[in-house]
Amino acid sequence: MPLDRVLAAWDGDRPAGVTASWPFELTVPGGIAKAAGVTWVGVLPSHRRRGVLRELMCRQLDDVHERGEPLAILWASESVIYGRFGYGVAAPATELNAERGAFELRDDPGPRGSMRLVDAAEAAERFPPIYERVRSERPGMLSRSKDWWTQGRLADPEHWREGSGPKFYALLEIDGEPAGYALYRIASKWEGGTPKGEVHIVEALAIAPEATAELWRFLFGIDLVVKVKSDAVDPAWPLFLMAADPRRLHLSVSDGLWLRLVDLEAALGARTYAADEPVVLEVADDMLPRNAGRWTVGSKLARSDDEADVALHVTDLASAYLGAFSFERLAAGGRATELRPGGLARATALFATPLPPYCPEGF
Amino acid sequence: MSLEYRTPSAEELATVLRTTYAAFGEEAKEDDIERWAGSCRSIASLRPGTAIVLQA
Repeated sequence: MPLDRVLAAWDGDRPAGVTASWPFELTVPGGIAKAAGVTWVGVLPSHRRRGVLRELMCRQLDDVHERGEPLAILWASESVIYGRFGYGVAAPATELNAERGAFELRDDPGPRGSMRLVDAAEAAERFPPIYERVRSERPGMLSRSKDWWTQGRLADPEHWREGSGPKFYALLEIDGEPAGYALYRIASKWEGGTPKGEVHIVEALAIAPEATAELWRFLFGIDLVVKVKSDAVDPAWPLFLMAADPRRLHLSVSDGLWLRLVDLEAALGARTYAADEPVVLEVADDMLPRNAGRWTVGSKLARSDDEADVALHVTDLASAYLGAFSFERLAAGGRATELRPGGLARATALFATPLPPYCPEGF
Repeated sequence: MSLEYRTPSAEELATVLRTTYAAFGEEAKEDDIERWAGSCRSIASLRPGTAIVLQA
C-alpha cells in the first residue's frame, strides 16, 4: 500500500485515529471500475464521540475523488457505522456453517475430474487464472496483484491461523484442465475419542457448475470433521441448489461488502445496463453534493431536468449499483420511492444482472 | 481539541498501525505491522498498484 493512502489524526505527536485504502479495481456489471478499498479504520477510545471518524472519512473521500477513483468499498466491523457516510450494502455475504455428515449432492451424476493438493508455489501459478475467469463474469470481485496472491491469499504465517492448522491448497482438474480451487484450513478437535474437527474455507471458486459440485464434494468429503464453514460462499447459492438437504447447510446472510459512490457520474458510466429505456433518478447526497440531483441513467448518462422516475439516497443506490438489490426490493424496504408509474420496474430492468455480486474476501 | 490530519512518515507508520489495534481493543500483531511498515519503507522499489496484505 502506498504510504500516501494512509491518513492519521494526530493529537500532538501521537496518532488518535487512522484510515487507509488499497488501490483496487472492482468488477462492476459489464466492466471494471477503480475502487479505494478502505481498511485499518479506527479511533482510540480516548478520542471517540468527537468527530474524528467523520473528519477522517470526509478527508479520505476527497482524496479518493482526487485520485480519480469513483468508488470506495469496505468491510465494516459493525454494520451501523458507514451508512452515515454514504456507504450502502453492495454485495451481501452468505455464511456457511454446515453439518458435514448431512451433505449429499442432489441428483448426483458421480465424481468428475480429480482433486490434488498442491504447494503454495504451484497454487500461485494455477489459481490466479481461475480467479480471473470467475471474476470476469461477476460483479463485486477485486483485482489481485501477484503480491496480493503470494503475500496475502496464499500466505500462511502461523499467527493468521487462530487455532487452525496450516492452509491447504486444493486444485480441481477436469479433463486435465484446471477448473477450480479451494483454500482451507482444518481446526482439529477431539471429544471423548470422537473427531469433532471443522473445515474453515478461505476461498473456493470454480469456473463451471460441474466444477462447483466437485469442489463441494471434496470439501464435504474431508475426514475427521463435523462442520464445514465459510464466511463468504457464492451468494447465488449454487450450493443451496445442489444440496439434497439445503437446510442443514445453515446458510446465513450478513452485510458483506459496502460501497460508496464517490463520483456518481463516473461510477454509473463504468457499468453497463440491461435495458434500453433510461430512467431518471433523483439522488440525495448531503455529504457529497456534487452527486445529488436528477440523473438520466441508461443508454445515456447525464444530469437531467426531466421529471424523476425514482427517488432514493446515494446509500441505497449503492445497494442497486452492483445488482444486489432491485429498485422494487429497495422500495419494499422503504429505501426508494416511485415518483412516476412504472419507474421502479424500469429502473429494476435497467440495473438487472444475471447473478448477484460476490466479494469472496475481506481486506 | 485540535487535531492535525496528515499522512504518517514511514517511521511513524508502525505507531499508526498500533492505533487501529488499540481502537479494537486487540493486541498488536507486530509481525503484520513490520510487514506493512517494511513494505511502505521500500515502496519505491515496488511497481504501482502493488499491495501488501496484512491478513487473509
